[in-house]
Amino acid sequence: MKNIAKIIIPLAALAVATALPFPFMFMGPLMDGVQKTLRIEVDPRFSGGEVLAKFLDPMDDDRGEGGLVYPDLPAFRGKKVLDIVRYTVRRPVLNTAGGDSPGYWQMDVTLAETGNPLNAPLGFSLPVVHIYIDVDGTEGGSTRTAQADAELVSFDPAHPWDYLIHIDGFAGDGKGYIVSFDRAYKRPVEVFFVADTKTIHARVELDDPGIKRILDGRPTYHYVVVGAFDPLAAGGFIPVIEKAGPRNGGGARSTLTPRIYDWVQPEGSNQEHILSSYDQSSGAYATLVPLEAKVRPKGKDSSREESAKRAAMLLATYKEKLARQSAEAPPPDAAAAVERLLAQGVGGIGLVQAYYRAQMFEKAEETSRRILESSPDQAGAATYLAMAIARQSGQQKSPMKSMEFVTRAFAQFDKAFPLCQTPDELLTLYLERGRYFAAVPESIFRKSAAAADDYLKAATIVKQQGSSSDRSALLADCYINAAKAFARSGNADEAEIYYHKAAEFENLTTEQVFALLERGIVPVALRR
Amino acid sequence: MSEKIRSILSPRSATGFSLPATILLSLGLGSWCYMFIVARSAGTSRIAAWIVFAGIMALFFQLLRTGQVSKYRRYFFVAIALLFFPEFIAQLLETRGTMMLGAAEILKTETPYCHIVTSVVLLPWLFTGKIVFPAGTGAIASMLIIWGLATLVIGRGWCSWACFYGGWDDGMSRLARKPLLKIGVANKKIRYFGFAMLAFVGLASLGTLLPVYCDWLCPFKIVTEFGAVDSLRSYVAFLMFVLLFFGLVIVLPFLTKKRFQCMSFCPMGAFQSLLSKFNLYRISIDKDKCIGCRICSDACPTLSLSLPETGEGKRVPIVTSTCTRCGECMTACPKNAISYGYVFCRGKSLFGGWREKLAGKKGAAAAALRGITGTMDEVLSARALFVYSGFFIGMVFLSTFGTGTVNRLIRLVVHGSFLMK
Amino acid sequence: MIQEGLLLGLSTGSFCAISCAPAAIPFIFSEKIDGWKQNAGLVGMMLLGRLAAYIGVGFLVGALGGYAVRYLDPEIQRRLLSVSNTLIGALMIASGLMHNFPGLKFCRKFQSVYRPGGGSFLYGLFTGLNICPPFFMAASRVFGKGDGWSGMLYFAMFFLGTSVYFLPLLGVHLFKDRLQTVRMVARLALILLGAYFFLFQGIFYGSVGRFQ
Repeated sequence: MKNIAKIIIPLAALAVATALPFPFMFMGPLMDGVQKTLRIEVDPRFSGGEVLAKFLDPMDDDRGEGGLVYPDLPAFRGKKVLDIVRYTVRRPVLNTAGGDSPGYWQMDVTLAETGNPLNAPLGFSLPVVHIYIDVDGTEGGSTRTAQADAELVSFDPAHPWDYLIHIDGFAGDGKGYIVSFDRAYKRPVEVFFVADTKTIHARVELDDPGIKRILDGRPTYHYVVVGAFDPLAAGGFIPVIEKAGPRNGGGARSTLTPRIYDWVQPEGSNQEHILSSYDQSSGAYATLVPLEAKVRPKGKDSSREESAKRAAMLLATYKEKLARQSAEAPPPDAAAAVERLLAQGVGGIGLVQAYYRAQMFEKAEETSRRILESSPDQAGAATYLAMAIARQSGQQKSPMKSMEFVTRAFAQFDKAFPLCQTPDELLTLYLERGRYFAAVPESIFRKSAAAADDYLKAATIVKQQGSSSDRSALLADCYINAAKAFARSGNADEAEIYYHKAAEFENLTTEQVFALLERGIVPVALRR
Repeated sequence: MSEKIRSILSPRSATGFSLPATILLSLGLGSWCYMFIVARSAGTSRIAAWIVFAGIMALFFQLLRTGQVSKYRRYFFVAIALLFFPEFIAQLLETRGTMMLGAAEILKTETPYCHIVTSVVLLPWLFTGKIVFPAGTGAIASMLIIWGLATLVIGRGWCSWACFYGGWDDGMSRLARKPLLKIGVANKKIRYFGFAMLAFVGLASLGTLLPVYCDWLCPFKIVTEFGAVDSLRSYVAFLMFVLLFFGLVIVLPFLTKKRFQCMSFCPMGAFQSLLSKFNLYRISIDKDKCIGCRICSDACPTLSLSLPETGEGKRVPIVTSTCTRCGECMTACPKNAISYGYVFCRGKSLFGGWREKLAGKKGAAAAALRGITGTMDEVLSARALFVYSGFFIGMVFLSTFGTGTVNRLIRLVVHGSFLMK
Repeated sequence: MIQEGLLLGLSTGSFCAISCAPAAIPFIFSEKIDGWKQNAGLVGMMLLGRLAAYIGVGFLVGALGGYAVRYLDPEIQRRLLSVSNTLIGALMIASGLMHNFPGLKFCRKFQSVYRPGGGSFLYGLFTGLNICPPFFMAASRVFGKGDGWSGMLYFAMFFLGTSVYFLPLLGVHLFKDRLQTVRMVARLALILLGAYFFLFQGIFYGSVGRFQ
């Protein structure tokens, strides 16, 4: 036995020492495996409490009743800072972790974009957010806004609000405030702004008997609205009239147009329809309906589970469609295209592109370098050089060589960036760099977040170039790829937003529909 | 073979490795070092990568040739600690602007997760399924993998070869020539206090569902990050961090020449001791060579060589589970009676029998075979593979922050700034 | 009422066990246990102490009725918790010192109370006063009854249900051969845990208000 041990044990130790590096090289799949097997989950008290309810709001609906435009200020131009994309209600936290609070209740508002051109202390300059909450049904509360002539809306009589949380970027001491409908209770609210996730987190202390009623687990009802902040305006909501100016928004159709750019609408409601439901003749404001935040019993179908079921049903159909499409349309003969160009004596970027499509990456690299020698500012050549190096990294047998190519590709993409002068050049760079960042192993290079960023920048350029069916398909692609990249980087929340954004497009390609169905999301066009 | 060549090829000491074995092992480690450190770098950080690579390989080479495990391991281990914290702090300053952790950072659950936290959050996780620490799940998973692999391979050797905190008290414990405060191995309570700490942090964290050690007791907060000091609670916590660092990591190791923090305070060290049995390696003492002088137990920086309480004749020390496999006892032993060994087959070499058969034979072929089998025995020895594994795991950490710190130092000299932004 | 209390205890008792573990585990492992009788005696006295705490609280909450609704306030909960933490912390420090420094005058005096089962009973009593979430759920069921006796009964049943989770402590004597080192460690841990609960979870928590 000891003789066998003296052979096996050293050899086992040698095997272990030899194999030891490999887990470190395949960290990504290992990490995923460990997370799934051990079900690693951080105690939600640290992030503000367990999520009770999450409400997605459509992107690009920051037009209020339908035609509102932002105030005419340089700080607002080209920005979408008044577009809420998600509202999250969390469960109250009692045994607080990492803080001095005895207990709190947190709500999160996620915006499509944020910015701080006016250096507001809280980190965001322009939005003013009001969260009106009903905790007791018709027992008490108000159907009018906290300040008269502020938002110019009223509230559902079945759910008059009891508390208002006011959040703006310029609040003193880095806090918002909460006030009861009868003004009997007013306290500061801790506000955290996380620029990376574009989310405003508001924590309400549980020190009022009225608020503490939520501890019995009852459903609460929320109205969440955002306007443009003006400290001198009623409630902080900048007025809106017909024409935009520096002290007012524009596009209003009436004096009763709500001063709300975006409202988190409950499922089944339509923002434009509700916000334009005021009555000019009687002077009645538009009436908002609330979001219901309640514990959903396990085992019962929520709308999300229904959507996932429908997606699963459609998935097989679209899988077949995809298979049929690729059988019917064989890929073009890229090698023949290269031969043709060479025969015609065509050089330049066209030849580089042909080499690239024919997967002759070394030739593509060589030709790009020749172009750059004579025209160092040629953005296209610089981008294709990076792409050619990048693709060669996947062809190397040795991991060390592969790593070298990857590093060179990253460096070349960085060099190409300042050379891109036109939107098309930038678009190509963002798309190709995003594609490459998304393709390299996340565990080693951690580039998925950067890939998502590139795809979203590409999406911005595509939107600026106007709408056409090609552009629309490309835009949807950008959103889907951004969502995939966010998911790979572990940011499921952002991924969800962009998948849903892509799902709103009318004319998705079969591949795009399939990508959404795989994630349990049914495109809007298929829901009808 | 000429005498000169023979002397070059032979080990430089009784415990050293021959040149062929050293080269083989160095090639193995060197290729991985190149891949993990140099190949991943670009631009100016490539210079830093080469410096770190050269440093690691030089220490490894010297360790093997001289056989002085404890000395070169210590240089390597202290380097890990000293290179870790500047890069860590610099990254915090660049991304966050401060070393302090505010409520917003906790909310994002992006607090860096170190291996010590595992011992704190294990019990709460077992009972509630949740990690009571605000870190990203990816960071938690990656640290669990690194630490888990290292523990399976080198056991509690983690505490002397890889832990990026341990180099502090290891280095401090070697500064004084003699201990100014003597602590004997007979004081079991000091050695087992670490287990009491483990029980304390585990149960307190379970009872409160809070990371008690991280909130109040981690001595290394002041060289990594700590909660924003903006309330009475946080002032008290900060004061405790400072006192614990200077007391347990700087002053006591200097005075006692023992690794006080790692031996008696770190809950993770105690946790590793519980797992140390699940490992191919052991520290073995040759009872025939041992003369019972007890120099080894005095030299041990973690009081891990205990003496049997009864028995006639010489008392051969017993290696306890708290041993961190640092090699100090091996260096101290005047009879070279202590070495790394494998479980189940102590003192047996794979090819020893073949060399015995070849011993009397003459001729170049026999000599070559003797040489090859000798080299293979060296490469497959527990000492070689343990040291190789320990260096590899330490190198994995250096590949991330070691290169970063050296790059920043170069930047400081060239541009006058340690930070990138 | 009986069924509800028992079922509540069974379904949520693991939380009670988690809250009591920091005191109960080092306590039981710090004692020298030679056989099953001694083991059962220690655990039995501890459970008796818990029962006394539970039925005492049950009677009070039931009798106070509507006044006890304030008991459900998180702020009140924290203050009550700080009191129970201070008590349990003090007991753990005292018993830890007694084990580690038996020669001290205080320790000799303390032993005379601790040894004949008094220590176990106190551990049970103070951990029974530990306010864990299931405890509050039980209290919220009871306060509306307006009757101390039914409150006592409810909490007695609740106690039975939660006690199931303490039964593993009866098996400590099976490991007696390996317990010497564990005992030393547990006795050191008693002082550490006691100091933590006394200071951080007790006095600071209660007096400074938000010191956690």
